[in-house]
Amino acid sequence: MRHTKWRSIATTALGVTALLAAGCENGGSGGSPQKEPEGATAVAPNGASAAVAPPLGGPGGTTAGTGGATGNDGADPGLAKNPNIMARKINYGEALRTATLKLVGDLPALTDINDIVNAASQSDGGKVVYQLKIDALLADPRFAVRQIQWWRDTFKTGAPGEPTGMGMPDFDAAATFAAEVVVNDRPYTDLFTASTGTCPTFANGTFTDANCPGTQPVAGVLTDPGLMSQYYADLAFRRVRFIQETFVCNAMPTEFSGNPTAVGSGLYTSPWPFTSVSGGTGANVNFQDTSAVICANCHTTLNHIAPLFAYFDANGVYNNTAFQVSTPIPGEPTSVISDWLPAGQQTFAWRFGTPVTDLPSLGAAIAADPAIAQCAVNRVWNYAMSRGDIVNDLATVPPVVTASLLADFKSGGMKLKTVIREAFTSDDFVQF
Amino acid sequence: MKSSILFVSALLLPTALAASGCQGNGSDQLTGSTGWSNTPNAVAYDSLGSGRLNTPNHFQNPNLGLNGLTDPAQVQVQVQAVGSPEAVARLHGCSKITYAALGALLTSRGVDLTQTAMGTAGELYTDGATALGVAIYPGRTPEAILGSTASLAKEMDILVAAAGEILANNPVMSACPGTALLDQTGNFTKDGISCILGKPATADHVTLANQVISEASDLPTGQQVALAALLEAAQTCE
Repeated sequence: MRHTKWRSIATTALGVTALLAAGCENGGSGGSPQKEPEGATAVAPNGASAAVAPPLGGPGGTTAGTGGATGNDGADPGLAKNPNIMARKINYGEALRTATLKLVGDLPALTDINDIVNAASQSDGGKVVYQLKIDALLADPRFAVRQIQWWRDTFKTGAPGEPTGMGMPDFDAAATFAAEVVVNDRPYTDLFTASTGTCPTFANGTFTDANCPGTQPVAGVLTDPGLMSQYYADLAFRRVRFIQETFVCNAMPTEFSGNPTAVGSGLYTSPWPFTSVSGGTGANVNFQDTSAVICANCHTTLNHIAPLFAYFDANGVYNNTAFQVSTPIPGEPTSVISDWLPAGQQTFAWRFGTPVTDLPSLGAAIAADPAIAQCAVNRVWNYAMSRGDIVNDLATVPPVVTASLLADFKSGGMKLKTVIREAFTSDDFVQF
Repeated sequence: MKSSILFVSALLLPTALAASGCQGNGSDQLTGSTGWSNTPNAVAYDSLGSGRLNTPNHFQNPNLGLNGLTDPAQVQVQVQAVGSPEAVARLHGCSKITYAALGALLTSRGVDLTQTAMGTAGELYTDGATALGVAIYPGRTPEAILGSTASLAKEMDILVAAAGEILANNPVMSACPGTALLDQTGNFTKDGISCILGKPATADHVTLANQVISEASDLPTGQQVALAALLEAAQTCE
């Protein structure tokens, strides 16, 4: 009987929900915004292995001819006439609600809601009051907690409340460090270049710096034992993929030659010499295989980075006396450098033409890559606009959308909190 | 005769199954090989790499398809329905409210999430974590950004249960001290609804909510249905 009543209430509520939503839409300011179809996103720049052209406009950019974008920056010349865009109206009350949920993980208090209501009659429609509310949210102690959680989800790792032990590393340190960088207004590049204090703790609203355990050279989160353990895999490729997709915002392949060449069953598109990766007779793994897809399109990039991460074992412990990963061939032998790179070409690089020698220099190269800044800004944009993951969900962001945020990010010392503020106060964010 | 048919069938069935199994490839097979498709040299959008037998499998993301990538063709159709990638990027999407935020907003609106009795919002919230899409970090799975049918259905269950508890605990909505959710006649107040929604209530909200009360079989049921509907309408998207 009890279940019957609950079911009745639930069913009725569901119907009324639809009525309320519809009614509120007609009512104007309190209504549901024009929504894109669930999961609607722009098209991936280079998700297919057989891609033959680089993404336009950098990370998270869009390919030409997808859905009407025409320029290299993804600008839509018909945007102003798009009915979905035209239908939007400024709604600071709705904006404050979603901003508060995202930035501090709760709904706004009634006093804040009413401040927005009362400010609507001001000459700016309440814009300044709204911006002050965003500033208050960014200064709220709950923002740090929410940031840690956001980075856990971005890094796909974390173990809140779980003690380390049995040789396992702290899976929460990387997210905590990234949150500290944002909350304390440190340059975003510290994620790749910081040489100390990269395993902080967080308690009672305060970050306390601490060094990560181990003997590894330190390069921000790149050498975090928790991340190294989380992304342990054969030949250390998963660690490189993590860095690529998390900080560059697109999947491999990521380097493209201006002159692709026909090989085997497809096109070789990488700028690296085709024979710069291991393969052929005698190689443990044939990265020069062309029978189906062109392995080297991705592996010329991957193989020049992965050996640097191969000294971390499954628990993220660094041992520079020998590689700590295996090569996936019968017997699962410990990897040797020739598994990645052939003799005479065993040098490392972030990208073709950007050589590195060790993890700190890799971190410096990553920090200097313009794609990193674009990716960071685009991730913040998607976070603000309730969009899916920029890689897995193909929720790409045309460069034109975040151009001003990116410019301010670069000129303002790479402070991600500044980008968050700009995104949450942008014209697009406050319109529904 | 029947015996013969059965005998032949018994011989043929495993053969047919085995043949189809070989054609389909196991889940640990690469997808980009010529053996994966009936079209020679075809490369699927979600190709994981090279041929079936010449390299090891590539790692995958759990629960996200063969290699974690969404089908670009599907995305393109969705984008074109909205207009352009720029238009899509400039419009709000609909991300699910995070598990932690759902708990926080319910608590600050007067729901006791420590309740463990069957059917309480606390029990549904605690036991429904998986359905609500929480992270599974050991599997490298973050908390779901977008809602699923399961997560939205579970959220609905929780909000229906929460509605009754909020009504019972009205005086202790910590987010809105001194605010009465209901007036002396049992109807919702505008400030009360604003507190529940987390945004300014409109006249339509108040009118429709109180209309539900007036049309219900009794006052408590009407209040609970209206409040659950308000919560669900407001909190479906972040």
